[in-house]
Amino acid sequence: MKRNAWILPAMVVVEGIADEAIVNRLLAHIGLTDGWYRLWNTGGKTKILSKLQAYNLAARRQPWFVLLDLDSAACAPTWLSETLPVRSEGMCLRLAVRQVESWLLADKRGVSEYLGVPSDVIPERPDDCAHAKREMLALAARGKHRRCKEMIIKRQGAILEGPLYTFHIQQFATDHWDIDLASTRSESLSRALAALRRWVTLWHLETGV
Amino acid sequence: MFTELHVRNWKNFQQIHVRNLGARIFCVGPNASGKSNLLDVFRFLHDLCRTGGGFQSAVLNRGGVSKVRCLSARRHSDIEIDVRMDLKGVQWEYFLSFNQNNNQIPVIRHERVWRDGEMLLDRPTETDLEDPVQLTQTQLEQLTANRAFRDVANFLDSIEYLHIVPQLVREPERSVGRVQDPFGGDFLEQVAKTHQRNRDMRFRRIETALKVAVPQLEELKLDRDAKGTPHLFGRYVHWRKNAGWQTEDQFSDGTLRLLGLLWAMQRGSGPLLLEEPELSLHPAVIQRLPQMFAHVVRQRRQVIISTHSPDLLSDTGIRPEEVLVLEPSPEGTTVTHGSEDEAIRILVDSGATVADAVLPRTKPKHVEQISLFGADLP
Repeated sequence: MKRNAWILPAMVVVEGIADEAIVNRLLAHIGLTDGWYRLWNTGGKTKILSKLQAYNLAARRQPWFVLLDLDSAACAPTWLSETLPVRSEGMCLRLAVRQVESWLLADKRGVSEYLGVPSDVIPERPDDCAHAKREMLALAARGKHRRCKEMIIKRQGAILEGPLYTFHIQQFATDHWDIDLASTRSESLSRALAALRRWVTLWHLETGV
Repeated sequence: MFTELHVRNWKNFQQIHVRNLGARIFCVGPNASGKSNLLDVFRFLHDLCRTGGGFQSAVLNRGGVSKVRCLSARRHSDIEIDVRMDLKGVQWEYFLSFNQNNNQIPVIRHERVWRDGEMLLDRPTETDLEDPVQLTQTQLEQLTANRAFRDVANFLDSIEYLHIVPQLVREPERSVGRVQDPFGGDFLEQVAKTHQRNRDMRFRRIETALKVAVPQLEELKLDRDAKGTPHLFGRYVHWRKNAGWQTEDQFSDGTLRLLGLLWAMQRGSGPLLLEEPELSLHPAVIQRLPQMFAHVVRQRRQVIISTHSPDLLSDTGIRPEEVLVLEPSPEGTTVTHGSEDEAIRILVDSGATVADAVLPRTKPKHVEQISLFGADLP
């Protein structure tokens, strides 16, 4: 399709508030300013999945970027080919392995400073974590900073998400997260970045990217 | 019903041009984008024609011309309203432009009426120019002058607006003396004035619907106290047969708002303007509202609704052509008809709902910063 035939701005769909901050950083990182896209937080993975076919059809004419957590599904390529076998030209569907937190954890130095934990307890390859979000919560439980206490609740030995978890993740992603460093440790992140760059060149007129 | 709306310099709007208005219209936009101001165009037309209304009071009740005029109005500072209507197959057009004179009195610049394309009125006329005081009143509001287009006046008079504020219903003394208070101050008085037979019939319908949303409610009636003030009585489930009667001051916000909505849907025959009907209601009830509005439309009434609610807009039966999208810009808020926007049309045609297509674009631009509020409180 000719570049000027795309309906713009592009649509960007995420699962939650924390993902909004992450996606804003990623898109800024590849040189896309916020006037070029509309970001929508659907408030849950199931909501995105129920609309995915519609988004995909719309992506024939409009660029769409959808970010999901892989969660416990076996492997990303299989899941993708089962969920959305035929992807429209404008559709960029990416999965964070296994949660988007792994992309943040991949910035070892940043997380270590933000939570006040020694960097050697942060997983070297966060994509390999069975549950990156739980890993983040466990790290917060060890953390020294006051913010760590606000991120978690301890209940009968379990560490659960606290009321300000999203807020601090959002803050970290916005102000502290080193994307270049993180993409050296998370393959899922570096692949997503590459895919986003390809996606943007597809429709962006002045790709200073 | 209204088929077209063209407006210049009205409140948030430098210009609005909407054609092909349907029978059911949802106005969607961010906070302070002017959803209420858009509905207010129709209320203004109603105020011109209602008993006790008229051009002067309609403008002055809104704070005068300078309050009504769009802040981004430029050289052309007249306020213009142009509506087209289909009334029983006859195509009408009413055009009004106005401004103020040196004494800040609202004056009419032009008033024009067309019936099936034939111009019936074109002001200022020569007599207007000889006696400029005449330009402080529309001919629409004058029975002696509007004979040829009385249908238009009656239609505009029939517009109903509802935005019940539960506190005002509970404490009517706050709005004592107000007549046709759109916020529900005289709601019970209006209900009480309805002919008993009509009232009972409507109450029975409301009872049936209310019982679904509020299962504890068993019976509903209206009575006057010793001073003559009308009160609502609802009988709630109670183990003693005659206990459990409560008056409106004990009704919940949601019960009162739903009651007002159900009442307004049954009253009158003109266009019904509803301001955020979803307020205080459970999502499961909100999801059904579009179907209820569709029933009203079946009674040949037009319903114009302002809303933010994803539950309401997720009804798969809402078409892009039923939506007006309001988006603020430095030059005033723009209004886009959903069917004229490709992105909305394509997504809805692909199987998503109007909520999926419209809410992402009407959310505030930097909404994420709201969650930072409070982070720096001591």
